[in-house]
Amino acid sequence: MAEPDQASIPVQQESSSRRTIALACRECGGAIQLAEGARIANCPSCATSFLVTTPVGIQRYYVPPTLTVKQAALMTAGAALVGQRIGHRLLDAQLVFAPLWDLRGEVEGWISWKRPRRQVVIDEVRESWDGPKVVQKKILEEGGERFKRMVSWEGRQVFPGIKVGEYGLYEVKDERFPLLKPYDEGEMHQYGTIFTPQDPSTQDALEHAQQYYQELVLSPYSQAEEVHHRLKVTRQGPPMLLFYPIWIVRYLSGRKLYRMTLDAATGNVIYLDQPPRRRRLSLVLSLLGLMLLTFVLSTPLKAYTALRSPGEISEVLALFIMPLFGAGVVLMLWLEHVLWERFADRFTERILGDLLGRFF
Amino acid sequence: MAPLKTESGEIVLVPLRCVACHAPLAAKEFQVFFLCDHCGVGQVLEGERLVPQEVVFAEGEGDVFLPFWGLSARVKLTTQVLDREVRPVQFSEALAEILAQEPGLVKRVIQTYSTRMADLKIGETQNLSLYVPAFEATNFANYTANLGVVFTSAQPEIKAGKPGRLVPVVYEQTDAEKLSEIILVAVEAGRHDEVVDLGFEIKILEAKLLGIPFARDGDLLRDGLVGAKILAVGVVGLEEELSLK
Repeated sequence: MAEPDQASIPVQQESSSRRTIALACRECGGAIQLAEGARIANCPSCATSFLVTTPVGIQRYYVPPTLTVKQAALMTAGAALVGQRIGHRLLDAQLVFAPLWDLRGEVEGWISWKRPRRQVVIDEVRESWDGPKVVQKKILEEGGERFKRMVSWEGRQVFPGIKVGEYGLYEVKDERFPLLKPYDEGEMHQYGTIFTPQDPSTQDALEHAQQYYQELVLSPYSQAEEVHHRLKVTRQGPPMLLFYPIWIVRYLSGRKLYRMTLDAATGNVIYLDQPPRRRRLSLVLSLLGLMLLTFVLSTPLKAYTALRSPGEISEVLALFIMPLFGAGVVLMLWLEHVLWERFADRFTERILGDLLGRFF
Repeated sequence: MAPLKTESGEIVLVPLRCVACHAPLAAKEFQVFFLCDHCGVGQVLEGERLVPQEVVFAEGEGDVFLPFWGLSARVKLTTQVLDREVRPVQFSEALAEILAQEPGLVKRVIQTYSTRMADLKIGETQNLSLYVPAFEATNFANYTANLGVVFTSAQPEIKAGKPGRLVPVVYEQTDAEKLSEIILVAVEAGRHDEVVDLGFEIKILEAKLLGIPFARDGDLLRDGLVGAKILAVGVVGLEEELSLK
């Protein structure tokens, strides 16, 4: 079998640490630390082995929050200061447990590929007929060699169990691998609200993860030619739903509404929803208002002046329209200011901000 | 046995007991097969329950048994992709001269294992024994899969012997069935340089859990059936089994 070229296309072999779950032994009450995904739990105190079962067929755990509401408020003050805003005001803060699918698995397989062909230009030194050395450019073809090898990968995929992109859940990075606790609504409600997982379903989540694993394994071969592969997902283990604590905080700073998502286990800022630049919005709204006002007022004015004094239309227009322009600007700025104050904390800024962001 | 809810939220811990004699079973976290120390009955984890599973300890000298799934299967080669650009290996002139003087050198340098598995041809069906390692190794591609390829290629005859210490089984039968296709592709593509892909129809007729004896040979473990080797440190849980011996 041809030897693989390790330098050109490395095999992705990823392994990630396992989290641990704190359980109590049912025989002696001793503390058991169960490795994530394990189906057997061993009590170090009484040496009893247990089968880990769940009534719902999914292993559900939660991460106990460590960030208090005061600390969350301090984080928003810090963020406001970073934005050079003084006088921020906390509107509300809510702790929620967001469901995250946490699916571990292994991929084993076989792959064959050809190293990508390419042309390489090299400098070749030659002696000319009359003595001195000359450098000649030479084009060489390289690549095209066939390789075959077994591949193996182990890892996890974490993704939200609900479609609420605005909270930045895709950004949750559980790097500390904290000690998890089994799902317990009574305990969790003492901290905050629990989001119910809705989408995707367990089966869809498993398929999604399998596809993700395979894409990861194949990613180093994206430049390779004539890739053939047989990949199998094994040891996927029971599906695991992790309820991760986040603080959703809203605060006003410099007359602008901010929404911040904080990782309640680590204190990291997961997401900061910034309002769009208001000056740009004001300018656009004012221009739109002016155009509308000019269109509405100029037509009857033009008709009126034409009827009264047909020879002096331009002077009359200038006399009337210019102040109207000014009035229109003031009116639109005032209107925009009033609307902004009333509806800024709803959706206006978000929708317009997104729209404007596309064009500016 | 009715599971009891514990203080651990919705996780239910059910004491692991033998399906035959109800004696407590000792197990590792990711183990899926358990052998009762009291009555000797083997049992495998299927979902969240235990079902009896026979294990055959192969006859032979060894310090420890490595578990394999032995799958009797009807295999049909359905598709084959060949690379016409692949040329046979050409030795340099100097090497060719040495090889001409010592014809057995290649065999001594490149260790080959016995191969009893006949070449597969498209459309033809063969009854084969597929061997898929069921233990955990630190490197699947180098250790686990390689042993599967060597054993499947060699098609050894397994005779039942005395039971002994078995390294923990972590791959379930369903995993083994998936891996059997990978191993078959590796066997065939390893034999023929021009083969770049193969498709199979595999019908599993019978699945047995096998304990293959391996003897310590320095840093290696060597099996007594086909002479396959594996680095001892690559086998997860080996040291514990050897210390319990």
